[in-house]
Amino acid sequence: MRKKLIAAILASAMMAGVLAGCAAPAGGTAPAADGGAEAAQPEAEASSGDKTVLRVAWWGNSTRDQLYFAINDLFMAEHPDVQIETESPGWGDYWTAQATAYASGSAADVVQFQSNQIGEYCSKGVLTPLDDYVADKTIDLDNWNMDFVSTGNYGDNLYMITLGLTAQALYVNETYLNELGMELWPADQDITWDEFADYLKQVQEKLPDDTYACMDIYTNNDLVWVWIRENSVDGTEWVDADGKFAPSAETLAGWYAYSNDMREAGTTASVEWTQEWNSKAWEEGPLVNRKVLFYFANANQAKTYQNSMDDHLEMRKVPVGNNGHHGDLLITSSFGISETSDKKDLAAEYINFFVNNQEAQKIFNMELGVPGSLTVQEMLAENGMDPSDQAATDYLNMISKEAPPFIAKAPGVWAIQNEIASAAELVAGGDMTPEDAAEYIIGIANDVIAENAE
Amino acid sequence: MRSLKNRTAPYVFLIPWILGFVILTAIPLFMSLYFSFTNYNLLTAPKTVGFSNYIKMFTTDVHFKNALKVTFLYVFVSVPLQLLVSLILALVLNKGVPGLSMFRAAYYVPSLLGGSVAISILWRQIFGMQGLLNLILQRMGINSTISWIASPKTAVWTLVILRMWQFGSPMIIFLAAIKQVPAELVEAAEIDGATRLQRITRIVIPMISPIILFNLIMQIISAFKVFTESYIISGGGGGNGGLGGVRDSLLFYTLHIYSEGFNKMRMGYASALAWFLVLIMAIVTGVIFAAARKFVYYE
Repeated sequence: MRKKLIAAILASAMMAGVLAGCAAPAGGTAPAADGGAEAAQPEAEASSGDKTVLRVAWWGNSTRDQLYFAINDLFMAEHPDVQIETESPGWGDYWTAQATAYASGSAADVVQFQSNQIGEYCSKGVLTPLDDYVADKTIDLDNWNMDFVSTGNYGDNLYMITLGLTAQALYVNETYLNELGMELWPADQDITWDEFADYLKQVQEKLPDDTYACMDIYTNNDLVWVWIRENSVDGTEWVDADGKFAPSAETLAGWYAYSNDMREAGTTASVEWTQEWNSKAWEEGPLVNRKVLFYFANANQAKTYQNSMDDHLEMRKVPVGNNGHHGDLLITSSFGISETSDKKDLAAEYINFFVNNQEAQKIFNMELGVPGSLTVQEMLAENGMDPSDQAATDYLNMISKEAPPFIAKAPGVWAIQNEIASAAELVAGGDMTPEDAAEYIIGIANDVIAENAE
Repeated sequence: MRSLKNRTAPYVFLIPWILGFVILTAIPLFMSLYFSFTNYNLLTAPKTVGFSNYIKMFTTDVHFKNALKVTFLYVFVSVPLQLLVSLILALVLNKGVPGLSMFRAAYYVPSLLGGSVAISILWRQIFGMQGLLNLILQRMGINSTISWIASPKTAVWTLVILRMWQFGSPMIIFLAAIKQVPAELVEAAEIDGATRLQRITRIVIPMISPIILFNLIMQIISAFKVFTESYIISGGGGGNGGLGGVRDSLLFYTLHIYSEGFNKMRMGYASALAWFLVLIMAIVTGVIFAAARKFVYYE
C-alpha cells in the first residue's frame, strides 16, 4: 500500500516536472510581453507580412514605456509601412534578456545600452559601426556636443548614439545645511576629497543620532571610476600598455580606506544601515528623508529627488583627487544596431528620428539624461525646462569640459565592478584590509581581462 | 503484429514527454557540461579551457566558499525544521479537528506563495529596519533597530523562517501517509497500554518512514535550488550588481551561479558551478539513501 502511495506521489512529481518544462518557454517570452499592448500588437502585423517590422529594445517601466510608445507612434505615422515591435523588461532582467538574445542570434534591431556594456558588446562584434550613417547624415550629428558623442565610441568606430547623458554629481540638502548654520561652497569651485572629508566632520558634529553627513560611497560603482580616473597615470584607466589592469593597488586601497575613514569618523553610517537605505526607491531614500545631507548619484536624478522633498537641493561637482585632477565620467544610455539586423538602414533612420526629431524629444523630455544635440537642448530650454533638468544640463555641459577624455570600459567591466563593491563590504566589515582588497581586485581583474582577450 | 502494436503503443504515448525531456532538459544538460570546460561569454563562441573553471572554484573565487557556507546552513537547518513542523501539524490535523479541510487548505497556501516575488518583498518589509518585527519588538520595550535582512549575522535566518513557513506541501503528504497507517496496529498498541507519544514514535513514525525519507529528499533538493527568495530579498531585480546581501550573507549557491552567468557573463564558469552543485546534491542524496537502509521500514 505504502509503495503504491510513493509510486503515486513520484508519478505526480514527475508530471509536475513535465508541466514545469512545458511552462518554461512561455515564461521565457515574458519580457517581450512587458511592452504591454504595443508589444502584442505587432505580432499580428508581423505575421500578416505587409509591413516591415523593426524591433526595438530598452529597459523600461510602465511610465517610461509610454514615452517610447508615443515616439514610436510618431515614427510609424511618418513611415506607414513600418511596424515597431518593442521589448522593455525592467533593468534587473534587461541584461539577462539581452545576453541570451545575442547568444541565440535573436537580438532586436535597435538595442539600448549603457556605458558599462559598451565594451562588453562592441568587443564581441555583435554591433554595427555607425560611422557611415553619420557620414551620409542618415544619423545627423550637426550641432551636437562632440564630448557627448564620443561616449558611443569603441576603438576607432562609433557604435552608439546617446539618448541622454549623465554623470556622478554630489547632491546637497542646502536647506538642512543652512539650518545647521553652514554654508555651501560655490558651484564651480573644486574641492579635494580630503577637504570634503573635513567638511563632513564639521557637519556631523551638528547632526542628531541616526542622521549622517554623507551616504556611504563604497557601493557606488560609478563613483569608484571617477576616483580611478582622477588617479590614472598617462591616461590609462582600464588597461595599461602591457595589457594589465591599469588602476594601481595604491589607488584602489585609497578608495577603500577613504570609505573606511568616513565610517570610522561617523560621517557615514554602518554597512547594514547603508544597505537597508540603498534598497529603497529614490523617492523614499535617505536624501529625501533627511537621513543624509550629502549624496552621490547621477545628475539626471535631480528632478526625482527634488520633486520628492520640500527642502532645496543643490548640486556640486564630485571632489577632485588630492592631486587636483578631475575624473568625471560621462555615463551614456544609447541606441546601437545589432549586427544580425537585416534592417540596419531603417534602424539608423529610427535612431536619427528618436534623437533629433523635436516632437520626439519633447515627449522624451530628458528621460535618460541630457541630450547630446545642442539644438535639442536649446529647444527644451525654450519650452520651459524643469529647473532640476536645467541644473543637470548645465552641470553636464560644465563637467564635460573638465573631464578627461572618454575611454570606453573594456569587456569584463561588470565582473570587476561587482568585485570592487563586494570587496568593499569585506573591508567595511573588517574581514579584509584595504591593501589586501586592492591586491585581490587586481588579481581578479587581470584574470577577467585575460579571459576576454583569449 | 498485434503484439508489436501493443509493444509500441506506450512509446507513442511517451513521445511528447520524451521530446520535452530531450529538448528542454537533456540537450541543455549536456550543453552545460560542455560549457563547463570552456570560457563562454554568451556573445562569442566558447573556447575550451580544460578543467580550469573547476580549479578556479577552489583557488581564486572567494564567493564560492561563502555561497557553499550559506547554502549548507540553509539546507541542513531549514529542511529538518520544516519537516518537523509539518509532521507535528499533520499529526494534529489527523485527530479529526473540526473544519479539517479548511485548515488543510489554509496551511497549504504558504507552500504555493512561498517562492513568489510578492512574498519575498513582504519578507523585506517584515524584517527590514523599519519592519513589522522591529515594530513589535519596540512595542514590547526592546529597542531593536537592526535590519534583520541586511545584517550578515541574521540575514540567512530570515530565509530559514521563510522556508519553515512553507510547510504545507510536506504536511499534506504526511497527512495522507498517516491516514494509511493500519488502525489495528495503533489500536493494538493502545490496548497494550502505549501512551499517545509512544504510539506516535513506535508505530506511526516507523510506518510512515518511507514518506519521511521521500519528503526529506524532495525538500533537500528543493532547498539546494532556492533562488527567487534570495534573489529578491538580497536586492536583485533592480540593483547595480550587489546580489547576495551584505558580505555574501545571502549569496545562495544558485544566486552565485546566476551572478557569474548573467551579471558577469561567465557562462562557462557558471556551468562548472552548476555541475559541482549536481555533484554535491548527488552525494547528499546518496548518503541519505545509504542511511535510510537502517532507519526506513518497508512493509
